[in-house]
Amino acid sequence: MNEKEIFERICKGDEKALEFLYKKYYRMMTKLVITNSGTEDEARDVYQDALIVFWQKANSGNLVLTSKISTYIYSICQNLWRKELDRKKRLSREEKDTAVSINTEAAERDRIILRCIEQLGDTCKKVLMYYYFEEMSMQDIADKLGFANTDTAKTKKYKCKKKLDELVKSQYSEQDFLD
Amino acid sequence: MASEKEFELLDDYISNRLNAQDRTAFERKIEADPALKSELQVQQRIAEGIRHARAAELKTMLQNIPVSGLQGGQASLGTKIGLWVAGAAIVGAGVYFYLNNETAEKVTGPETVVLPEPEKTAENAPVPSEAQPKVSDPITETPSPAATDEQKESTPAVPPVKADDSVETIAERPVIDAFDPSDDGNADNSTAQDATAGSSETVKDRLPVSIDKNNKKYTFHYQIRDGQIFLYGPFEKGLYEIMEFFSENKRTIFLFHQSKYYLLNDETEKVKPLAPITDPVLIQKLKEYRAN
Repeated sequence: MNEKEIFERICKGDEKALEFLYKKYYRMMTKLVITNSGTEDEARDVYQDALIVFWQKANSGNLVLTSKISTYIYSICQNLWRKELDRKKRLSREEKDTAVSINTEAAERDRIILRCIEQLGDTCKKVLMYYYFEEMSMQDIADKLGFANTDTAKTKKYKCKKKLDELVKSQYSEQDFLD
Repeated sequence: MASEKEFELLDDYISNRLNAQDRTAFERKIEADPALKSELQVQQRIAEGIRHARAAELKTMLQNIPVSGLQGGQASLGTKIGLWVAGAAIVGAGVYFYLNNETAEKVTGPETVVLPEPEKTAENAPVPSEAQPKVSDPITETPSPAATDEQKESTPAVPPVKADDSVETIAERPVIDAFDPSDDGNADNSTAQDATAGSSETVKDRLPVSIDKNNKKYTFHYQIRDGQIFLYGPFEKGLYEIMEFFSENKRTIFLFHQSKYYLLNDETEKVKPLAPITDPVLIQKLKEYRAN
């Protein structure tokens, strides 16, 4: 698979291409973190996050690649690792308690939503994920999930989101989601 | 509770699918409607939760992809390379000694090998004057490719000798078939004696020579084919010399290039690497012939 092929397949949401890319640059990307005071676990974590950022941008159609894929992912790794080092430094100095409490609230909200998502069917889950995370167009969602057309995809998305909304609101107070 | 239309608008707003005009209009509407504003916040959190769920799903997928750990991977890669190199060295040495001893005519010559231990039996020496030639730099040497059947059988496989400054290493004698220009009278070396008994004839530049300076595969090689010598490498016209010696029906060819002498074996038509002759006595004899 050449660069162009990989990128095209990534843009179409081909997870096999993502897997291929992950293996291909694993050593190169994790080395960046490891040689900059990171552990192998941290390196893997950063690389995975970077790859997910790349995946998301490529799928949304907002990414025009002007460099090699590896260069792009490497720069994301650098930014993520820099942020992580800053965060560690900040945490070691101050605001430990506040940061932990904010993270706990956000994590709890995510857990609530995840539980509700799990109650949806597989297709609903995919439609919503492709719509919100990958930011795929309705046409792409229709193609990927085998819907007849974009209208079917739109209707499906609306119904799925409504269902999720009802699940969340039935199980948890609206106040849980407000600041 | 938001209407269906508002619900759709909220979704489009959250997922950045509204154009600038619609976006501004919707933001104005939100500012004017506190319930809609609250709903927007809830929907943003839900969308955020979906995004996190998807990211977590992808992360789990990536975590399940088997990749060798960096530390371990490097070690195992190093080990693999080490084993590969060791294996290649063993195979290379094995092939060299096998060919050198069993099928010497077919040897096209490895590029560089560790010096083998010297052959010490004088009766196996086809060239009387080159017994146990010493080399000043024993680190590596390319063996001479030629050997007769008798020599093949009598030349045992010997283990390579490591270069060591404290030990004077002896180079394997370049095995020359048919002719030795030295006149060292050794009764056991009849072929060489025949050649040096005054019956040999030296001819310079008799065989036509073709030069290929740009061959990527053969950079310092030769080939004798169809009555012609092909030299591969940086040979400039006039800066090399071909010497042919005839002894009865045998012909021995030498190349002189940049102060070194090379034996050109014409028994096969294969392309062979050029290996300089290291025997000082033979070199001296060739020098004398050239001077005459």
